[in-house]
Formats: sequence, C-alpha cells, structure tokens
Amino acid sequence: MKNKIILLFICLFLLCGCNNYRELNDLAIITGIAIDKTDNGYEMNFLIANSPKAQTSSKEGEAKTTVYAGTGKSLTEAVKSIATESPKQLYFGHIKVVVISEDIAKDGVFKVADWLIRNTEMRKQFYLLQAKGEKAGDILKVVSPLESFPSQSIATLIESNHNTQSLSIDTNYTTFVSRALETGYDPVLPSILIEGKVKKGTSEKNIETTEPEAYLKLSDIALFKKDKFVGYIDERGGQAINVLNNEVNELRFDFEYNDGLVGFSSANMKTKMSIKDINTVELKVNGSGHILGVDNKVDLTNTKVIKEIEAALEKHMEKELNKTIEKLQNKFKSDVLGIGKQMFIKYPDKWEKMKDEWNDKYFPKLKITIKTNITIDGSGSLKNSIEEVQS
Amino acid sequence: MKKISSMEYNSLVWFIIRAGYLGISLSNLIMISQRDSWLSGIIAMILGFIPLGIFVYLRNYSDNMNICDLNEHIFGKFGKFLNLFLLIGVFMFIQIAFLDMVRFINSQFLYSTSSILISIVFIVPLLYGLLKGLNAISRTSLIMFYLIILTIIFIILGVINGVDIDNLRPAFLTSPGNIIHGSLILIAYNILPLFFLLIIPKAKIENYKPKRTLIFYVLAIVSLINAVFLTIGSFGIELSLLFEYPEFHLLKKLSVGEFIDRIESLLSMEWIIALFILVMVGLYFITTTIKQTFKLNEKTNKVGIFLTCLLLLIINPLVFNTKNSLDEFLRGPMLIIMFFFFFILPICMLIGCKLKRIYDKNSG
Repeated sequence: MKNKIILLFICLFLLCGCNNYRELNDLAIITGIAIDKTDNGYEMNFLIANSPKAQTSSKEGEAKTTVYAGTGKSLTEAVKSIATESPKQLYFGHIKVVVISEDIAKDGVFKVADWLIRNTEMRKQFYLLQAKGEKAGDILKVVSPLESFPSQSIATLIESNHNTQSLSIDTNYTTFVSRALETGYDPVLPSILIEGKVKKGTSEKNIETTEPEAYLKLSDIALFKKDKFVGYIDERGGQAINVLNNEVNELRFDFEYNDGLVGFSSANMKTKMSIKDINTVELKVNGSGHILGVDNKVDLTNTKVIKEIEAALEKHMEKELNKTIEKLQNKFKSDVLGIGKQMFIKYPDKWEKMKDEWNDKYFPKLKITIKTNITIDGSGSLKNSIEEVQS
Repeated sequence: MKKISSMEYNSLVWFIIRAGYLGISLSNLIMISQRDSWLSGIIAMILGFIPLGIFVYLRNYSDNMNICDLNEHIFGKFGKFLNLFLLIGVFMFIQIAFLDMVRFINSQFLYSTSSILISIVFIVPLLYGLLKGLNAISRTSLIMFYLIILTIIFIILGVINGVDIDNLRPAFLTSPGNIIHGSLILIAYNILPLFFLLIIPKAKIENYKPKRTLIFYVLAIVSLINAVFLTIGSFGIELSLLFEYPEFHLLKKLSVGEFIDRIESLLSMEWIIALFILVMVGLYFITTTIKQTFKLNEKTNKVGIFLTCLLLLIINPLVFNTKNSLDEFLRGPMLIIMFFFFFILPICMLIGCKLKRIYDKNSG
C-alpha cells in the first residue's frame, strides 16, 4: 500500500503536464499566412485570431483579427521577425489558408514549401491560393461581411464555389505538393483577388455597409509546370479541368440551343481516361443532369426535343473541353490532367525516355479525343418552358 | 499462478506484429520497395509462416517449459549461455522500439519536452506492469486490443475516400531484390519478435490453440498491408518518401463526415500502445530469463526489473542521434542481428529439439 502511494505521488508529478503545455490565452493562433517576395528575401503576413475580442468585437468595434508582418532573407527569419512583434507565442496548428504571391509561384513553390511542410505543428490540410495581381499580404487584410475571419471567408469561398459551381479548384497543400512531386502530373491552384480598394477593405467599416467597398473574389485558375507557375486559365477552363480530373461535385453552365440559352446542372459527371497508344488518349465524359432554365420557346415534353438538347449539350461540352485541352497542350504545356501519369502506368519503360521532355515535346503532340455521353433526366419543378406554354 | 486466456495471448501476438510498423519498418519498407511495398507485405506474410511454424513447434515441444527451460533442457549448461546471449538480441530490439516510441512523441507532439522526461513517463507504467506480472500485461493488452480494433475501423473509414489506386501503379517496377529486402524488413521487425512470447510456457495459456494464433497472425499482417496501401494510395510514393512518419500524416487527412477531424493525436495512440506492449513483453522476457538463470528470489528479482528499466532509460538518449542513422542501422546491421537471434538461433533450437527427441527415443 505504501509503495502504491509513493508511485501515485510520483505519477502526480510526472503526468500533470509537460514542457509543451501552453495556456490558450498565451497563444497567437494563426489562421492564415501570406508570403510575398521582396528584393532581399521574403515578406510574411500572419493573420492572427484575436480570440478574446472576437466574441465581443461587434459591440466594442474592435478588430477580430490582427495581421502581423515580418521580413527576412528566409522564411525562418521572417517568422522570427514576426515573433519579436507578437506579444503572444505563435501557434501554427489552426492555419486555414496560405496565400502566395505570383512572384513566389513563378520562382517555384518548393522554395517556400519546405518550411510549410516541415513544421510539425502545421496540419498541412490548409488551402493554398495564389494572389492574382495583388500583394498576398493584402488578401489577408480584407474583412468579409459574412465570416468573422478573412481566412475562414476564403476557405468558405473555395468550398462553396467548388461544391456548387466547380469553377474553382479545391486544392489543399498536401495535394498540391503531392501532384508537383508526382511523375507526369502538374498541379493547379485557385487564384484570388481583391475587388475594390484594398485600404477600405481592411477597415471594419467595410462590413458595416450593405455593399462592401472591397471584397475577395476567386479568380482564374493558376496552372503550374511542376512547382513553377506558367499562366492563368479562366473559370470555364477551371470547370473543364475539374470535369476532366473527376473533381466535380456540382456543375452548372449555360449552352446555346435554338437561338436561346439553356441552363444545365449535373452532379454526377464522370470522366474516364484511356491511353490508346503512346500518341493517343481518349477521354470519355459520362453523366446526367437536369435543366436549370430555358429562356425561349422549347417544348420540353417532346422526347425528340430533349434528344436535340442533349446533342447540343454534348457538342457544347466537347467544344469547351477541347478548347481547354488545346490551351493546356500548346499555350501552357502543363499536364494538369495527369495524362503523363497514366502513360507512366501503361508504358513504364517508354515513360523513362519521355519523362524529361514530356511537357515540352510529347504532351503538346498528343492526340486527345473527347467523347461525351450526357443525358437529361429532369427539368426541375417545371414540365415545360413558360414561353412554350404561353404560345 | 493464474493462467492467461487464449484471447489475451493472441492480443499480445497482434500487438507484437503491429508494433514495429511505426517508424521502424514502414518508412524503411517504402524506401526500399517503393510502389511495390504491398507486394513485399504479401511475400513477408507467406515467408513469415516459416518462423511462425518454428515458434509454434518450440512452444508445443513441452507444456511446462518456457524457452529458457527448453534451452537448458536441450543444451544443458550451454543453454544458460544461450539464454543470456538471447537477452542481448531482445534488449537491442526493445531498446530500438522504446527509442522509436519516445522519438515519435518527441518529434510530433512534445518537441519542447525533454526526451528523458517522456521516457520516464513510460518507464513508470512499464515497471509497474512488470512488477505485477504476466497477467497484468496480458489483460492490459486484451483491453487495448478491443479499443485498437475500433480505432483501425475508424481510420479505414476516414481515409479510404482519399485513396487513389493509381498511386500504387504500375506494379513490379521495383527490382525483385528490393522487394525481397522489403519483405525481410517486415519479417525482421514485425514477425520475428513473436519469439519473445516463447517466454510464456504453454501450460500458462488457457486453451491454447495454434490455429487461433495463425488467424491473429494473418489478421495483423493484413492490417499492416492495408496500412501500406492506405499510406501510398493517399499520398503517392513521392510524398510518402518525403514524410518522416507518413502513417501519422495520413491520420491528419482523416475526416469522417466532415465533422470528425483533427483526431490524429488520439488515433496515433494505436501505435504507441503497440510499441509499449512490445517493450513490456520484451522486458518481461529479459527479467524472467535473468530470474531463472540466476535463480533470483522475489526481492532480488524486483531489483533486477528495476535495473533493467533503468538501463533502458539510460541507454535511450545515448544511441542514434538522428532518425536517418537509425534507419540506416535498421536497413542493414540490425536486420542481420534480428535474423541471427530470432531465426537462426530458433532453427538451432528446433534442430536441438528434434535431435533430443531422437536421442531420448533411442535411449529408451
């Protein structure tokens, strides 16, 4: 009994905590990071959650977040410089977004990737974005009317956009690094910009009006060749990439039919890639969906008309997908569809000879054919178009 | 002494096979066999039946003898030396397992905490378990086993969605030599430590049936192959090679229903518990062998247990400064050491048993 009490007493001292123990109030919880390039190195901006004030700020008029900036020859130095400004200990475990500038992306993301991935505190599941034509640091400063923290606002923006429109790319940091490292696959990133004046967007007054003077907007898709940025493709291109990469949750777009526009929505678009031979690839897009809207006279009760709409839809999709592929092959030479990876899987021996020149020599010459098979299985709440009924 | 149940014994089999996975075998297996690591796993499972068969034979040789008694029975006085020699192998492996466990916690969770402090936190329950004896160890193992099974199911459900089968293709790209090397690593660090369990005599296990052990062996190895599949399938080979503990980083991706996440620390307890039980069984082997060889009484045995734990604690910070140096050692010299101690020597014991049987038969 005596021994047990002694053992319990020892355990009380040993198991009460450890050197890593930190009070929540002593932590500066970083929710977003922005990295810009400077002449001498890097500038980093940390978006820190002002947690005690976040609950009461609407009454007191205090900012819910604070942005600290620091510069240095390396990221470690920049962090060190921020640490000397922040009264609390920096905590990286709750990072939601990391925004990098165009300069960083052009230089190669791997130069900053190491620091982000090596840090054991970080969970590596945060979103990675590229600031388009803006300073990455400014992106974190714009306050949003619907979310407390700008970082949360950006994350929600990506998620909702990807889930409902599939215009943007839902890429987290691990996926980006994994694709950039993989053989025969190039990564993509969503880009973000500030619509309006940056200075007005950083003030809490920005969210007090019904029409904010500045807000964040997801923009074109940034294409990469391994870790280096090569150019932007527009939102429709982003949608096409999502379709071809099987990363579509819900897809919505308009297409022309009988001198009018028909809106279409699909939640089950699937693409199958088959490597026919070393020079030919076939992409088969299958799916179904329903009509979102019709702006002219179309008899939706007629099966023949539905077949015609389906044909117009398939033609539209093939045209859009081909346009994107053509840009990827000839303008950007970026294999964001992972065709090289499939080539490696099918012809591992031949791939060894091709891999170094894949992006510049073999990928642009590849014959890619697209076949679509889309069916319309519903017309929403209406059986027919209003204009058709009226006539 | 109260017997341990068959289920308790088999839960020890399960933990010992799974223990070496974190930081010891997986990172080295991926480095050597690359995309074909799953193939190495299957080969290891098939080849692993050989040492398993030897261990089952040695266990079934006698009901009341543990491996120490058996060595003395077969080899006479030389058996005592053999037992003490075996201690070196067991101690080396549990030292590495203990180091791996402490280093994992130190590098991924408690990087500001001294590794000595973390070691002490684990040494205390190890000491307590050893003083309590085999029944306490096996009962702990069984309780943990049920908990771990739930954890594994949870991990599979949460991670399977992110697996891309293309990350494991094309197969058979790695040279056959490397695939075999990878499977030898799995055998050495996941299967051969089953030898430690021979310290428990058959008579101490209630309703012992080798068939059940075989089932647990297959289940444990399949769970390891599944872990390899999930890790490479989720990250791809390049990222899996880049991470220091890819299996732990995989848990960071885990999300069930998009509302259960950030539970990697909780789920990684699975490996810590497995390593803890392996070290505990290893220490039990050492202390029991010392007790039997030197015929220690209960009091001096307790001193022996205390000193063994102290030795484990003292040596821990003195070996392998970096994970890379440990990995190099695990891929090369340690592999030979493991096969020598827990495969070649058991084969010698098996031959000794066979010859002894023939001799006893002939001498009437």
